[in-house]
This record gives sequence, C-alpha cells and structure tokens, in this order.
Amino acid sequence: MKPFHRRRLVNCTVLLVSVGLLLVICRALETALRPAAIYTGLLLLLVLICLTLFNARKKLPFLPLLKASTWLQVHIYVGLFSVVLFLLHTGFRIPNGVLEIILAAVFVIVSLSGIIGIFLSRWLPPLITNSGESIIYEQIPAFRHQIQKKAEELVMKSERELESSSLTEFYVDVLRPYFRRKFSVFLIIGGARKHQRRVESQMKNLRRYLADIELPVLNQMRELVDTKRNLDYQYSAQRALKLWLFIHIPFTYSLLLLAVAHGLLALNFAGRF
Amino acid sequence: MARHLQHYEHTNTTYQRPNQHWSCGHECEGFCCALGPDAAGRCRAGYITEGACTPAESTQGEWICTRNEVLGGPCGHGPRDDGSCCYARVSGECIPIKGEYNKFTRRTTNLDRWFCTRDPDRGGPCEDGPLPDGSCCRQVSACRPTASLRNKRGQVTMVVVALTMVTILFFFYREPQELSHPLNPGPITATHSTEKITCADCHSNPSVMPFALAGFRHETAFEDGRLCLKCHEEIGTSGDLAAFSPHTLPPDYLDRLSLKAGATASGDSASVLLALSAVLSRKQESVACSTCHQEHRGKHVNLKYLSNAQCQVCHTSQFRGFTSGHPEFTAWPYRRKTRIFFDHATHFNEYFRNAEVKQFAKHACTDCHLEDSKGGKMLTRRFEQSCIACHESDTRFGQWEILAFPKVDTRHLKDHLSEELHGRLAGWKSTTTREISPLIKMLMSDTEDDIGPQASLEQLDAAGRGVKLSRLRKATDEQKVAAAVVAAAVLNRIYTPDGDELKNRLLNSAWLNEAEPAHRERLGENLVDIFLQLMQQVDTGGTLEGSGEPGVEPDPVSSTTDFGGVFSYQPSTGALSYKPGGHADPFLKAVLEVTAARFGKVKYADHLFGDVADHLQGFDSTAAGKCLKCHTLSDNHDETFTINWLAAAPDPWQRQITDFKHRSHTRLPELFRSDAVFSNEACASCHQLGQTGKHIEEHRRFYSGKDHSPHLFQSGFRSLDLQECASCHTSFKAGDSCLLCHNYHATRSVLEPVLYALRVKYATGLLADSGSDKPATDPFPGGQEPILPDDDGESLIPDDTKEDDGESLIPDDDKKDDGESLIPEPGP
Repeated sequence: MKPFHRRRLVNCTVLLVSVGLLLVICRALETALRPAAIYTGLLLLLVLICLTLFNARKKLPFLPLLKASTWLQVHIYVGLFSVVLFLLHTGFRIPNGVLEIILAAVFVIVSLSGIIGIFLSRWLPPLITNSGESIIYEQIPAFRHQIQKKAEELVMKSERELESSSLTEFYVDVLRPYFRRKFSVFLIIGGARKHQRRVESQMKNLRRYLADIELPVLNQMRELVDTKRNLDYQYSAQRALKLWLFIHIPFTYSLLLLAVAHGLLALNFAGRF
Repeated sequence: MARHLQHYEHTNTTYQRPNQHWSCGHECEGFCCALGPDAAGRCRAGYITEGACTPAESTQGEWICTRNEVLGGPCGHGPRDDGSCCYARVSGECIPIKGEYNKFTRRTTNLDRWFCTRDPDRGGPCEDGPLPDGSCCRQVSACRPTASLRNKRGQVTMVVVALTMVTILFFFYREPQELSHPLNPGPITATHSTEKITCADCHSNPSVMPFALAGFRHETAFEDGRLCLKCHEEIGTSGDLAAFSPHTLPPDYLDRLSLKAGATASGDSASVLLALSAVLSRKQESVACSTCHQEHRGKHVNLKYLSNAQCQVCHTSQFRGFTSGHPEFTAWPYRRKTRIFFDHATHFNEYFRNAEVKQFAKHACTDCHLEDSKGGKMLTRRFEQSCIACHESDTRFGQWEILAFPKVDTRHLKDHLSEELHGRLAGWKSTTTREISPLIKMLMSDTEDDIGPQASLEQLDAAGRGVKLSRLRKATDEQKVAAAVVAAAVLNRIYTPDGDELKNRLLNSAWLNEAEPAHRERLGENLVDIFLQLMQQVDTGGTLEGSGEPGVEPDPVSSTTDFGGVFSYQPSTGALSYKPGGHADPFLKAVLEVTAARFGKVKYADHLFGDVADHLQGFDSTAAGKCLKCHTLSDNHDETFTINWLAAAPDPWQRQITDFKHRSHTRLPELFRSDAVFSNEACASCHQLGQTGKHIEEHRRFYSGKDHSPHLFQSGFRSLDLQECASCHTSFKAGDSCLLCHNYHATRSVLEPVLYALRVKYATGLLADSGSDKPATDPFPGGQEPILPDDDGESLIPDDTKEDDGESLIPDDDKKDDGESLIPEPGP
C-alpha cells in the first residue's frame, strides 16, 4: 500500500471513529436532557478556531509547529468533522432565525468551498502535470506574450524570406486571435484541447495550400499553438486552485464573527449550560 | 523555440513571488522593471528618491543643506539650484548609489562617485553609468501595477468581514423585544405566540448587551421557569420551587414511587445508550421547564414530546421498551378498597342468573358505567340508575332506636335512691329490655358536671356481664350506687320535662359541636323538636316523663319529616326510633358522617356508630338502611373514618402520571367486532372476572375484624396482561411511546376544560342553528362526542367547590379507585 493511501486510510478511520463517538455522545446528551446544542455549538466554535489557525500557520512558516502538510491533513479531516458537528448542532434542520440562517448559510459556503478546494487540489495537479510543462502561475502572462511575439516574428520572417502571404493571412485570421485570447477558469473542463483541435484542424486545411518550403514554419507554428494550449490550461487550472480560496477564506472570518455572536446570544438566552 | 519555457535559476528568471501584493504592469508583456511597484502599488519608474535632507532656504535666497549630524552633517555639495537635495535622484533600470562596495573586503570605496546597481540578470551595471546627479541613465516607461491574487483576496476578505460586522452591529444595535427582531432564533409555538408577547415574558435576562452569559448560571433556567409559571399556574405558582420538582411531585412521594418501581422492575437491562445517558444526566432535585420544553423550533413543534429514552433517563429502573422490560401492570385491578363495594363476579355469576332477579339483571357494562367527559376514565352510574331495581328494599330496611329510657332495676335500688327519685323511676312503665343507649352514654360523658355519672358508667361497664343497670341483683353496694347515679342522671339530664337540657347537651356535645351547621341543625335542634312534638302527642302535659295510667299501654306515635324517613315514639319505653325513607336518607347520613368523624375521639362515639351501622356485628347486619353494606369506610389514620358515599369520581382534567383512555381503545373495530362504543366484548377483553369468594371475604373481614386497612381488599377482576397491550403497542403499529399512557406533570389542566367547554358550546350552538340532531361539522375529531350535562345538572367543567370525592391532586396508588363516578351518588 502506498504511503498516501495508508495515510488516507488512517485519517479516514480516525475521522469515522471520531464521528461515531460524537454521534453517540450527542445522542446520549440529548437523551439525558442536557443542552446538547450548547455543547456541540461550543465544540464547533473551538473546531472553527482550530481550522482557522491553519491559515495563521501558513503565515508563520518559521515557527516549528509541525509541517504544513500535516496541518493541511488535520485541516481537511477536522473540517469534515466540523460538517458532521454542524449537522448535529442544528439537529439536521434548517434554522429559523435570521442570524442563524445567515450563519448556517455562511457555514455551508465555507464547507462547500473547502470541499471543492479538496476536490480541485486532488483532481487538477495530475492534469496539470499531464498537460505539459509546468509553469509558475505568475510567469504565465509573460510566457504567453513571449509566444505571441515569437509567432509574429516567425510569420514576419517567413513572409520576408519566402515572399508568401499565405501564412501571414492565416496568422492574422486565425492564430493571432488564438494567441491573444485569455481563457477563463472553465477551460479546465476540456476547453483547452477543443480550441487547440479547432486551430490545428484549420492548420491542417492550410497545409495543402502551402509550398513545401513553408511547411517547416507551419510546424513551428503548430508547436507554438500546443505551447499556448498548455499555458492556457496551466493558467486556468492554477487560477482555479487559487480562486476557491476567494470564497473559503473571507467567509471563514465572517463565519467566526457570526459564530461568536451566535454563541454569546445562545448562552445568554438559553438559560442553562 | 526552446522546449522548456520555465527556468528556475534565479539569474535566468523574473520570478514574481505570489506573496507580493503588487505586480509590475509590464509583466504581461514579458518584461518587468527591476524595481517593481512599491508597497502601496505605485509604479516606481521615474521615481525620485528622497534626499538625505530637506534643504532650507536662507534669507539670502540660497539653499542650505540640513543633513543630520548623525549622518555626517551638511554635505559638501549643497542642495541643487531647484532646492532639491543633491542626493535625490531619478530611478531607471536601477537606483544608483554612491560608493562602491567590495564584498570581499566588505568596504565601500569611492564615496564621491555614483555607481550603477542594475541586477546581473538584467545585464549588470550599464556601460554609461549614472548621470552626474546620481540618476539612472536608462529610464523605463511607467506602468500601471496590477494587484496580485493574494492582494485581491485580502481586499475581498476585508469587504466580507466589514459586511459581517455591519450585519452583526445592525442586529445587536436594538434590544430584542418582540418576535420580529432579527435575533429571534426562530418562531415560537402557535400556543405561545400571542400578539403582545415579548422576550421578557419568557426570558429573565432579555438583554443582549452587555453579554451576561446567563447560560453559565444554573439559576437562570429556574428564573426563566418562574416566568413560565406565571401562565402555567396549574404547574405551580411562580414562587413555588415544588413546581420544578420531578413530575411536580413532592420528593418524598417520588422516593416512594422509585422504591415501588424498583420492586416491580422486570430486571431487563436498559440499552447501552440509555445507560450512558443516565451517567451524563444531571442529578438534580429540581428540573427547569426548559430541560424538556425547548422553544423557538417552529410554530407547530410539539413541545411536550419526549422520546422513550428521555423519559427513562432519570428513572432508577430502566428498560428497553414497552414490549421489552416494561413493568407489569399493578395499578389495576386496584389494590385499594373501592369506595363502593360491588362484587362483579357474584352478581354476574350468581345473582343475575337467579330467576327472581333475572328480569332486573344488568347485561351491558354501560348499564352501570359511563365514560367521563374526556373519554378517559369509566365512571359509575348513580344508585337510581343501576342498583335500585334490586336493592331498594335494603335502603328502607329496619329502624334505629335513637333514644330509649333504659330499663332500671329499681327493685334493688330502693335503698340507694330518694323516695322522690325512686318514685319517678318506678313511674316509667318501661317494657324495654335495652340497656342504656350509646347516645345517652355519650351525652352523659360530655361535661365536667358529668364526672360522677361518667365514673359510674365506667364502673358499671367494668362490672362484667352479670351486673347491668337492668339487672342489679348481684351488684355490690358500690355498683348499686353507681347505677343509682346513672339512673338519676338519665332522668334529670336527658329526660327533662322541657327538653332544653337534652337540646343543650346535643348542641354542645363534642359529638356535634364541630359538625357542619346542617348536621348540627338536623341532629340537634330538629331531633329534639321532633322528640318533643311526638311526646306532646302522647302526653298533653308536655313532659317527657311517662304519665300514662297504670295498665294502659299507649299507642306509639310517629311523624314523617323532611328527612324522608319516619320518626316514631313509644311511650311505654320512652324510645325514639327512626325508619329510613330510602336511599341517601339525609338523617342517617348525617348521623353516620358525624359519628364516623368522631369515631375514636369522642367517648362512646364508636358505640353509637356500631349501634346505628351495626357494623361491628358483621357484614350481613340488620342495621337500618344497610348503608355500609356498599359504602365503605376510609381510615383517616387519626381515629376517625370517612364514609365513601360517592364512587370515585376522578377529576377528568387532573393529569395522573398514568392515563388510560377507554374511548380510544373501545372504538377500534379491528379489535372489537362491535358497533357499540363500549360493548361487553370490548370491556371483557381486558376486564376479566376472577374468583368470587376471596373478594367478598376480604370485605367481610374489613367490617368484622376491625381491620380497616384500605389494602384489605381483593378485586374481583383478574390482573391485566401486559402482553395483551403489547400486541398492538409496538413502534410499528399503535406506537410504544411512553407519552401515550403517561403524563409528566401530575397536575390539573387549566386550559383543557375551557377548550372543552368551548367545543361543547360550539357543538350545541350548531345543533340549535341547524335544527338537526347532529352538528353540521364535526367539532370533535375522532368521533369524540361530548357528554352533555346530565339531568342532575352536573357541570361539564368540574367544580372544585363540589363535595370532595377524596381524590387527591397527587396521584396515589393508595387513593386510586375503581374509576368511578362523575355523577354524585347520594348516601344511604
């Protein structure tokens, strides 16, 4: 068994055991007519604070507080645990109060974004690797510009040396829009290959009208198209890996604030502990 | 074209760090300036660096260097002509510095010369070098720096946090007062959501600012609970801590119930979850309302719902469920003596089969029983509806001799009495064989003046069977003196000529002085008046002493009174007798009630009770009216008794811990193949007759053996079989919730009678409007028709002012009875 699989098995087992214990204790507390919602609420707030500390840990890399990967594992599985805890806290019901509805909605947003984040971080990296050369996200615009410039130079050179405007016209009509185009994050759902195939199909059609001497230039163009496809995919995939945090992190802080307000309110009005 | 675009050597890459908040605007063009944006996101192309000082203008119009002494004091060059510091310079591909740093010697040389600082990865120091004023010679075009993703994410976070803070402040700005406040965690139940209800109506600490964290205080729940009691008065008053005791019962009573439950426990172990819950439960003597009733969960939430496990968590004896481990039924048949003695087995198996009474026999259970207004308990019909056909003669049987002049052996008292007294005693042509009656004994032992006669009576009582007032032949002189004192006292204090002495003694006697005014009137004034009237009919002289002519036996006289019975006076014996007029005879009822209430407290009251009730002589007595043949006694444990004139009539709105609804069960067609609401078949499915003998024997022992324990009773019915109920009451069929049969609060419902009365009013109103026999719409779902007021005017709403039936608000097995009658049954 691979270490990764072993780790997942151990973590899942610990999670399931914890959830089982939680279910039993909550059921027992409810049966004992104790305010289980108060206890689960306080535990949930504690868990949320622990989960938020993962972000703080990333900002303090110099502190010897376990490895970031260990923190990530704890963050993922404690996060899943918090979802069960939340369901038990609400009694598997949609809250009725305005503040509670907002709080629950924010929790759902944070949880779903977290789950989506887990999914993306497990799904996209292999695709990024298989897509082609791995590029640092921040340098992709520069490389994109570089490829576009390279293609223009190639076309100018071929027109100048081969005295043929076929490639130039093709570049102006088809390739330049393709090289200039910026794709959205949804390109990760098979879009990059589709655009590449469309351009290559047109290049294939062009091939029969070109002289033999122009074909090497067309082949170079084709390489540039494939590189652009990889850059687009890398850009979209890496952007997706970053964009989910735009939801997860801001709403986490919102969740903490709302949870503290709700907790104080509940403790004040519930009348028992 | 190189196959790999990405380079990782630091000298060959313009790696933009993701933690940087701003990126150069030329990044997308493939080249970024070396300086990059500053922390505020401004482009630093053409950036004029700050100088070493801020030059000051002299009075002569010259610029003077103001460099700090720490930095070396004023420089030698002085400010430029435009007033800028000579050290200020414009950036380009680098920001030149003065002096050349040698990294090997770590020393800076040529301090007066500007040096290029362009990065090696961008070509290193340029050939032209800096301009004379220290500015870079290779200017770069300005750009518009772009925010990094990290920066944008931070901005989004700030916006979201700000919105959240605003939302929270908006919510908390106004104190929550009404249900529409956004801090209201949810709608409350429809019953509680009145128009003007506020948070302070239910919460003792309704303020949110500052946070009191009242939840951490154990008392808060009870302070909130007291607010509940302002409306729920049936649970207790707001200052009454007993309202929070478990089951709203006194702790000592609860302890007894716990002991009993432990004794009847099945021994089946509870589930692991229940055992764990019991460990986690808070062991407390008081339970706050919010422990079980949790609001703000919606309009239609059942606040009274508890799971079976929740019901059991406090209990000392726990079990898995109704079908597994529930204690056997011990509450019925009742182990306490019923208020009205009735032997079902003997009646059905023997009497009703007798040809003589077969025509009067009752065949249906409903001939004698009817349901209460809630359809819960079965009540007993009144005597006139169920028993009179066969037992009317018992109510008119015999007569009671109230007063009689005792037979005095005057022959042996001649030497101990004055001539005058002896003459008066001898004047009584007494034919009675009776000894001195208990009522006379009681009246002669009541005051300090009676010390002499009382001692004499005791002396005679102690003399044994051979010596009596009527037989003094073997008496000693002392006993004869005592007899003379007694005889004289009877003559002078009881049988006085005008009857005033008798009336005074009656009204002031310990027997009557604490009795109800009606009883005092009946047994005091009325009785003496009737006595005098009867005497006057015999003796126009108006005296009580016998004055008939020798040899002439006067006829007895009688009088029918408002009491229903007949008083009669026999002049020859001086005896006043009473013959009961039928069931619930008020005179006999008054005598028995008053005497039972003084049974052991007033001397000779027990004798009087035995005289009228004849109970000490056996169950099959010949006593007048035979009242106590059916009406049982309840020992008050203070030497007094209460006579159970009425069958048990539990308050239908009084919640018992265990509640069984007869109507719900007898309407199940799949169980009982009958259209009748209460068919015999339906009743007999649970109530099966048992043996006869033991039942009636216990009743005999009760009266003959002076054993008045309420538990000296054996029901004529067999025990209920729990499995019979369990066949339907499973979780998948009729349900096995504890709440089906059990109530938590053993209190009297306040709201239910009002709602019921409204329903009855509504139903009767519909009947009147439609002119039909049935209402247009059924106001009683489930076919529960109301029991409308009966002929006896019994209100549908129980009235606390009515005669107490002895049913306590506290459910007590000792007090549980045979589920009898809402309709008051008169006395004997």
